[in-house]
Amino acid sequence: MKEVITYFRLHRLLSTYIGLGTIWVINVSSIFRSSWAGDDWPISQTPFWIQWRYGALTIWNIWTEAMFWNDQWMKGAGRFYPLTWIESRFVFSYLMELWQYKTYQITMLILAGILLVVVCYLFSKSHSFSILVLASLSLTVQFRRDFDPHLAFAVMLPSLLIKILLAVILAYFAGAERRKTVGTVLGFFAGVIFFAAMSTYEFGFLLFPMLVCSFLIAEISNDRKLTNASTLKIHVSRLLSIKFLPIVISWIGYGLYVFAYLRPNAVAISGSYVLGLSMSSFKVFFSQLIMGLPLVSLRQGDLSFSTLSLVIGAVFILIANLSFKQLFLVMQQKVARDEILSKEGDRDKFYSYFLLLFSLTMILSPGLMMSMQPTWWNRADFSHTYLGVMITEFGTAVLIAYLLNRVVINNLKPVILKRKN
Amino acid sequence: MSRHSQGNELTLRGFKSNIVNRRIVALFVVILIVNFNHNLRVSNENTARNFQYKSWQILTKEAALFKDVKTSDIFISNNQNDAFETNAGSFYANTGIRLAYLFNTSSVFPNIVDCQLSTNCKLGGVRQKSISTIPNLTRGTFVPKRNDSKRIDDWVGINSRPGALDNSTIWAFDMFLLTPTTYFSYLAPFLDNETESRIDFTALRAATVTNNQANEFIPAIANVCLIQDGETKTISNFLLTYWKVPVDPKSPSGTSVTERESLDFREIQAGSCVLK
Repeated sequence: MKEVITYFRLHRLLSTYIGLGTIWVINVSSIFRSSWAGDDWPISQTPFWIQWRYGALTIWNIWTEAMFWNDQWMKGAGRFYPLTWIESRFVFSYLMELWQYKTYQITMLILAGILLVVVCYLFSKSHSFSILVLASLSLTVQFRRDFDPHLAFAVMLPSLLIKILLAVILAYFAGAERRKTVGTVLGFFAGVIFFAAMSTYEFGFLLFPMLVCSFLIAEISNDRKLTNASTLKIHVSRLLSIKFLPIVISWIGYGLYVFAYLRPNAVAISGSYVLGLSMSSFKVFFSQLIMGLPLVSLRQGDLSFSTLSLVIGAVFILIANLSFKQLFLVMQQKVARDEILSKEGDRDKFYSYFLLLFSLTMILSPGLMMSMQPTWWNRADFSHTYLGVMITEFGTAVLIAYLLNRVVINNLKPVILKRKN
Repeated sequence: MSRHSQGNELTLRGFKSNIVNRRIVALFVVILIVNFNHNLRVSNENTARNFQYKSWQILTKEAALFKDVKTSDIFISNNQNDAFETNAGSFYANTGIRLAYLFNTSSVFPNIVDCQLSTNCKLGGVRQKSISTIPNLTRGTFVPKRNDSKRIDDWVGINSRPGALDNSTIWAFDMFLLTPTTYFSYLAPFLDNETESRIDFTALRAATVTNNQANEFIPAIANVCLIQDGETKTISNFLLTYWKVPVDPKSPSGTSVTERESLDFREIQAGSCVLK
């Protein structure tokens, strides 16, 4: 009987993942309607320039050109993001047709979303929560009319997120691993991928707390004695563990290289990369906090629907209704089981704190970065944002899913409680 | 609801909680659809240059406009923009013709805005000016490393050598949207003249790409209506039409105009004539 119940539960979960995953894929696939955008126009011409100037588009020529520009930005602006140069040059050299590039763009964004769902499952061990994250992503991911990281900028942001989330997953397994050697090896790979993330876009440097949360959540899941907040302090001290050391070295190493070596030696730091603080910083910071909220980028005319939107909308209604019906049934069973076993306790609270810290890191850091850049003080507001907004969108999706999960569970509880009576 | 029908109070509570969850789903779906519609709209807004981009591909991959152009020739164009597809690199990749460069007019004649025909200002010879600009080109550059450092195949380096471009033809060339549905391009060789920048008007060739099934007008250059020199359907089902300067030139108003063999570069202004 137990096997039958498990089978139906898994079947329901799988169909919900597929249903809401399909909505996520369809939503992101609207990228197919776009052309090259923003910096993608000139960057997409790079392979042709290489061909014209040096006669052939060889791997060596592409590599050398990418390294040349990386070198220019390192010495000139004190910036270090070689992987973006390498990735963008190779992508545009081998995906020359628009549909090829757009397919790559969509795939990377879908993958980033899936990895976030995986991370949220690892943290919460709750399929219903990770499914709600998947659903929320389709609400928070919104294309922007100014600087848009979904349609343009050589897939830099999805690439950064993929690497950060992979590092988060490895940091989790490093924390969860009881064998020190294996844990250190996993921590080493997490550190390497985290370094790669920062080398894709320096913004990754601010996302270090995501790895801290991941490692600590895994450490907590290892400890069966966890009962109160003082135990939590002991766990925080575990960040000094050798398993986490490679990640710390990667973070500090990158920071020292950029801020203690490259920037002091840079010869032409543009005003855009000078950091400062003023009263405007607060305005910029708070304006960027809400940029991941659903419909925040809606503008006049966006409520005029095309036939395609209406047809897809009808498909969404069908899929969402079926998926949520399955999800609520699973959640109802889970609530009943947890109520009977009285499972919720301090451990869940600690998970919640770290999960919220994880999501807040993603929500707050883009605004924090922009608030310190004088170039944004008179530009960023409730309708103008920058590339980091994609990270805010992902963080907001986690927060919305967390709140939804609690609301839905609370709504299911009374039914179950009465049934017990 | 049959699952919760063990008592009136129980049924009511179960119903209420499900109603809230149903409302959450309804709200989710509404936001989802509005957001999808928004994303689709923003994606579509981004396609303003699609027709120009496709036309450039047709012009450089399918059209016969450049059959007299040879390697190391130079193009000078008012609407050339390195930020988009209208550049020497894309031209080489599509046509196989490796230009010395596709210049924007302002690179060769930085003073062109202040040097008007009406004030008798002379632009000067185009050959010397464009050839002297070649060594300063930075597009596509990278510093060769290690065993590549002795490479000699830097196209800019090759063309910067003395006499390298002596046999090159310099062409006045342009490509732009004449109307939202018609992309217009012309090509005419400059005359070798060290004091003026004049083109051979009789050798001017033009092409239009339209996404309509038929042309809506006849293009004109320097107040002279061009005549059709053939047309073809492209692979992407656009209409590609070739044009040339007539022996008996007429103005857009239909009156005969004096036949001219050459034009000052600044006189090349595009216009249109009514289809007969």
